[in-house]
Amino acid sequence: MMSRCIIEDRGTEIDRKLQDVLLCRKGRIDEGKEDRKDVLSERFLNWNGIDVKGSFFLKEALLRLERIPPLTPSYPIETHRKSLLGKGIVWLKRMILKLMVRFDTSIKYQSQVNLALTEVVRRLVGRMESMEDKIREQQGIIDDLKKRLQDVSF
Amino acid sequence: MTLRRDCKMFPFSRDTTDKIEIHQFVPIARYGDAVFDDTLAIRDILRKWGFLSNIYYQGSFPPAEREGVRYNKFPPKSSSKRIIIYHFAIGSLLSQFVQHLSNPKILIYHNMTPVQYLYGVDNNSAQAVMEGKEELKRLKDGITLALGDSEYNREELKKDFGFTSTGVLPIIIDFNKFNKNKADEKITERYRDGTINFLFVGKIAPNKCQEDIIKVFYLYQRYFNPDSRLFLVGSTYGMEVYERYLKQLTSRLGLEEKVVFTGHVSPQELIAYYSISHLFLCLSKHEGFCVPLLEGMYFDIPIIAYKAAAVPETLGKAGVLINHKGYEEIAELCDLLLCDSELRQMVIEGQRRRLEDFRKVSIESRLKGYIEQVLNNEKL
Repeated sequence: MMSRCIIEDRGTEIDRKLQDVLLCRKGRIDEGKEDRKDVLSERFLNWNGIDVKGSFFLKEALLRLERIPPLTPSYPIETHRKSLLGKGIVWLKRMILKLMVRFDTSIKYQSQVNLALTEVVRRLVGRMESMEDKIREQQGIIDDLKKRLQDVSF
Repeated sequence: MTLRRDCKMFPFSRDTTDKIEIHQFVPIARYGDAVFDDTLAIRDILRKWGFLSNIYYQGSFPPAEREGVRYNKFPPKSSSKRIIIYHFAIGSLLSQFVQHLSNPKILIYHNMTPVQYLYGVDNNSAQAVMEGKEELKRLKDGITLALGDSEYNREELKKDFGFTSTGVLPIIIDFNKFNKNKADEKITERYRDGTINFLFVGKIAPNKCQEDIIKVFYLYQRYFNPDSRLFLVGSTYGMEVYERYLKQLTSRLGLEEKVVFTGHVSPQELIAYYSISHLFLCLSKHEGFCVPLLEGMYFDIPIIAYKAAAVPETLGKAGVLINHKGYEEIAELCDLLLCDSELRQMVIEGQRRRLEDFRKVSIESRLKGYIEQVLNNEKL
């Protein structure tokens, strides 16, 4: 006898009839269970062998990917838009988008170009930020030196 | 002699159709693709009503490119007013293009495969889906009316993307195409041999869970009827990783001779596979609409489908809906539907009734209503 009825009851005659017949039917497969192969319980794995349906690592990876903004003129960072580099990046991206529309880049290449550009932009922003950090650091040293010079009496 | 404009044939006045053009944008033009077939059907209806209507696409697969032109050739100016219908199924450059058009827009959302099914299998599509989500959010404000091709898709438009003015316009399937074309004789001659044929039609993709179909089929042919065969009809484009896995699984279960991967098929070949099949098995975990269910109904093939995403809505009270993927039970159910002619007939009759809901005429009247709604909103 079937252990659980898989038929969704939508209130139709056929659903009830099938449920009744299936529940009363002596399952043939149960008799030959020893012949069943383990492969039936295997799932399809992707992402280098991680099960797509619930891996913590995969979810984390997806979350990170979700956070990468898509290619739009306003990206990389709003605060950098006034700087020369920021303006340059925005202009470059506008031009590329226009060219992509003009030359009708296919979806496949568009994604690849997007990924590559996002990476380039991220690196440029990273470099800009590290330069700003250095400038700030040097500014601090200069300020410190100025202060010391004021304190020194010849 | 002037032609009388019959009110059913021409639901809009000549004054309206002369002043307004309705054009459609679609990412990919390819025969056999559900979204593009829907675009063609809508264009034919609009033309029948008297509107000037063209199709603009981003990419195309021959010979479908003759049905429209590339979107960058869309004339920027026209003496008539325009309504734009944008078919959305994946992130593409079209979104940005359409967004910048000042005309009133109707969005028809055909759903996107959840990204978790695509990563590691087709990363390009995964990226395009993620971009698509962002595009939809950006498109939101410029869309007059957002339609889902199922209630499931309409809900997604409202909940996930914040569209307020929404509706449902089911995919229009021109069943006449099955009468116009003949079944491929090579296939029918080869496979109409008394063997029981299982069928699933849909792209080879992890969300469609072809692996589960193979497992159920393994049990069926092992315990019920060794004289059986499974057809997995659908393109494998971009899904080579998953296809490789399915072929390995097939080989490990010793089913190389019994499972047929057809790849992308022509309309004649598709008709042939439907006409020689005895059971349609759909175990997909995600479907935005699932056109093959209706095609299966049209060919009087009993359907067993798993209750997921838009499948219960498309199936309605027809076919057999299952709520749990117990392979043994499903194999038993397959055997029951294949052996008990009375039950089989009951299922087929239910499917015939359901198919009436998707007849072209009833969807046409919905389309008419939506166009009127946009015309009134925009005061064109």
